[in-house]
Amino acid sequence: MERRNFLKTAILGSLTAGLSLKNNLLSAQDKSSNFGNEYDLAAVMGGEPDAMYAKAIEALGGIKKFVKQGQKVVVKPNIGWNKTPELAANTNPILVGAIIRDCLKAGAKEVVVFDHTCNNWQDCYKNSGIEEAVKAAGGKMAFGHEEKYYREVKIPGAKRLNIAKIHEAILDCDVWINVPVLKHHSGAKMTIALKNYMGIVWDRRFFHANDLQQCIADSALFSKKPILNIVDAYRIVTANGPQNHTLADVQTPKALFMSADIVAVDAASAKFFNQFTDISLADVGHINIANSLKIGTSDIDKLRVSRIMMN
Amino acid sequence: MYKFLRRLRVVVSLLFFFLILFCFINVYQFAGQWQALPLGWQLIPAILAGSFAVIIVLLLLTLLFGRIYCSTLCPLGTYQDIVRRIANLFKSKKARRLNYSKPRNMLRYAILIVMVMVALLGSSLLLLWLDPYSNFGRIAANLFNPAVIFLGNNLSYIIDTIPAHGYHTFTLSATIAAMAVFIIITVFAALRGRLYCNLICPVGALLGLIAKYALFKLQINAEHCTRCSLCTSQCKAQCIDVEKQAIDNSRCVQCLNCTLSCKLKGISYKNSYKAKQSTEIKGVNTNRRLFLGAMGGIAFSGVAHKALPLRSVADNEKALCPAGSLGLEHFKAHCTACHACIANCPSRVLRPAVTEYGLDGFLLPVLDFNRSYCSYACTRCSEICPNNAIKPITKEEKAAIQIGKVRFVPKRCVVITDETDCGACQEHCPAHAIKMVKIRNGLMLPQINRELCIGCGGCEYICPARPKKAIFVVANTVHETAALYQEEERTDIKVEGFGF
Repeated sequence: MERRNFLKTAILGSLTAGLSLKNNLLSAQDKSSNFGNEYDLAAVMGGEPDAMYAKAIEALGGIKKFVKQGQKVVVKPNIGWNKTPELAANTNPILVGAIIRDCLKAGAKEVVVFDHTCNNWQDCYKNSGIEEAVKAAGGKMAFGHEEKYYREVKIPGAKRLNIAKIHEAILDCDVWINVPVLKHHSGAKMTIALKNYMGIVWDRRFFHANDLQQCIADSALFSKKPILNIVDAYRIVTANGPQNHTLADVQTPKALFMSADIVAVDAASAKFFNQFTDISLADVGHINIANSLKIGTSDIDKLRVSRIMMN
Repeated sequence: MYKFLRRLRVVVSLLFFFLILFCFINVYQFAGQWQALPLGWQLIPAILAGSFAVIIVLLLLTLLFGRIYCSTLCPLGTYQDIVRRIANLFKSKKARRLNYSKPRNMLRYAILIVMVMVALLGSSLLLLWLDPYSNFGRIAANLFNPAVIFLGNNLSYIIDTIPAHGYHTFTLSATIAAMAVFIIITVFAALRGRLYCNLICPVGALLGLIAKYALFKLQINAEHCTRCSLCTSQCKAQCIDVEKQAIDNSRCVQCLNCTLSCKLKGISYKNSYKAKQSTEIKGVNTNRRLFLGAMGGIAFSGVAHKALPLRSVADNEKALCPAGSLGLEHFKAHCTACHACIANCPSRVLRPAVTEYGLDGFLLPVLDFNRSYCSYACTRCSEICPNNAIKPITKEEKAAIQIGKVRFVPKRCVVITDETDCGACQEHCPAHAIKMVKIRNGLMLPQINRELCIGCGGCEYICPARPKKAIFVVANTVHETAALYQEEERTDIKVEGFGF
C-alpha cells in the first residue's frame, strides 16, 4: 500500500469514526435528556402566570418538543364571558401571552387564538384582556361567533356526539394547545381542559340536550388532540361558576397544571380544586367517562409528576 | 348668492343623509355614541323625546325661511332628490320637466290632524307609518343593512379581518313593509319629485302650515317674469304657478333650483311682510271642511283605538320591550319603529315585532330570545334611540331594570326528562336569579329567584329542552325594579400543597 493511500484511508476512517461517534453521542444525549426530565405532568404553584408556565414547560421538556419550526399553532383559552381577568371567568391573559411568545420563539409560523364565546364575542375578546395580550405577543385573534367558521367532522368512537362542527382554526392548524381556566361549574360540576372543548364546537346546545357529561368526553375523542393542556389556576372560581359575578367566589392560589394527557391534567386540577370546594373526582362525570374511554388516565399516581413550589 | 346657497343646501343634505344612513348600516360598529347626533335633529323624534331646543330651532328656521328642513335635515327628502337625479339621467329633456300641480290640502291636513289625534291618544301607530325619518330608517335597517352584511360576508372570505354576520334580525313582514314603502317613495320621486312630501308627509304638512307665515319667501318678481315656465319645469315640489306668478310656500321645500333656473333673476327671497302678498295662491277655502274632517278623524281614531282589536293579547307574554322603555304604554306612545336600535344591537336580540305587541305595535322592536339574548352590560339601544322611547340608561341602572320575569317548568327540563346534567340556564344568568340545587343521584336542578331576574333571556336562549323550553321569560307590561344580589364575604383559603 502506498503511503498516500494509507493516509487517505486513515483520514477517511477516522472521519467516519468521528462522525459516527458524534452521531452516537448526539442520539445518546437526546435520549438521556429525555430520560432525565421526562415528566408526564407538571404542577407549579406560587408564581406569576408567565413564570409558572416557564417552569412547567421546562419540566415537560421545553416547547420545542411540542411545537416545531414553521408550524401553525392554535392556542385555545377560555374566553367565554364578558368579565375582567380579576373575576377569573376566562383564562389569564398573561398566561396566554407567555404561551404565544414561547411558540413563536420555537419557530411557529403563526399562533391563532379564538373561542366560541357565550357572551357577545367582541365584549369577551376585549374585556377578558386576551385580545390585547395576544396582539402584544404577536399572535392573531380569529372569529368564532358564526357557524361559517365551523366545519363538520365525524368523531369515531363517540357515544352521543358522533358528528360535530369544529372550528376551522383547529381543523387547519398543525398543533393546538388547550388552555382552560380552572373553575367551578354548576352544570358540568367542573370546567377544566375537557370542558374547554365546548369552545371549539359550534352547537353547544346539543351537548346539553344529549347528556352533557357524555358529550364533553365524546368531544375529546376528536382525532386531532391538543399537544398540551395548560390549566390556568392562578385565579380560580370556587362557587357559582362558570360565570361568577362577584369576587367573593374567586380565590388566588397561583397555580398551574400542564400535561399532554388531558384526563390526567383534569384529574390533578380537580383534586387541587377539592381543597377549596368539596367536589370529589368521582362526582365529575366527564372526567370519569374520558378515563374509561382511554382518552387519558385519571390515575395520577401512575404518572411521573413534577411538583414545583416557586416561593 | 343663490348658487352658493343651493350648493350649501346640497352639501348639508348629503352630510345629514349619509350620517343618518351610516347609523343604520354600521354593521361593524365603527363609531361610538356620536353617531346618534344627527338623529336628534329629526322633527318627530324631537317632539316625542321632548327636545325643546331642537323643536324651537326648527320652528324658528321654518318661520324665517320656510321648509328648509325638508331639503336638508330630512333623510327621506334627500333620498327622493337622489332618486330624481338618477331618474333624470334616463329621461329625455322633455320628460324631465314637471308641471304645476294643485295643492291637495284636504288630504294632507286631514292626515296630519288624524295622526296628531292618534298620537295624543297614546299610540304611535300612524306616526310610525307616516313619519319620513322612521320610514327612511326602516328602509335602511331592513333593506340596506342586510345588503351591507351580504357584501361584508362575501368579502370576509378574502379579507380575514372582516367578521361574518348572520341575518339574525331579518323579519319577513318588516322587510315586506319596508320594501313596499321603498318602492312607493322611489316611484313617486322618480315620476313626480316631492309628491310624498306634499301629499302624505305629516311633517311636510306641519312645516307647510308654519311656512305660510315665513318671514322670507321665494317670490316671483312680476316685472321680470315672462311666464316662460322654466322654473316650474324644475320645481320638484310642483308648487310654482306661472299663470298667477305665485309660489305656494306651504309646499316649497326651499331647494332653490328655481332661483338658478330663471335666466332673468325673476325669483328671489323677499320679506313677505313688507311686500304685498297679492301673489299668494288661494286654494279652496278648506277651513270648514277641514274642521269637519278633523273631527270625524278624531272620532274615528278614538273609536278605532278602543273598539278594534289593536291590543291583541295573544302574544302578550312575549311583548318584551327593551330596558329603558319603561313599559308597553310608554313604548307604544313614543316608538315610531325607525329600527335604529335593531340595526345597532350588538347581540342582535332585537327584531321588528309581528304580533307580539298587538296590531298597533306592528314593527316595533321586540326582544326575541330564540335568536339571542340581551347583553347584561350593554345599553346601546338606549344610546341610539332618538325618540326617547328607550330612555338613556347607565349599565348600573340597567342591572336593576326588570323587563320580564323568569318562569321554570321542571317537567320539561332535561335534568328531569333525561336525568342528565345541564345547568345551561344557570351558566348564562348574569343576575344570580338561577341556582343549581341537588335533587338525586348527584343531579342538579335549576331553582329560580324571580326577584333577582332582569328578564335578559340568557336562560331561555340557551335552554336545550324541546319542543318547548323549560325556562323562559314572561314580559312585564310595566317594567319593574329587580332586587340586587347580596354579595357574600370572601374568606381567603390558603392551601399548602397540590392535594395529590
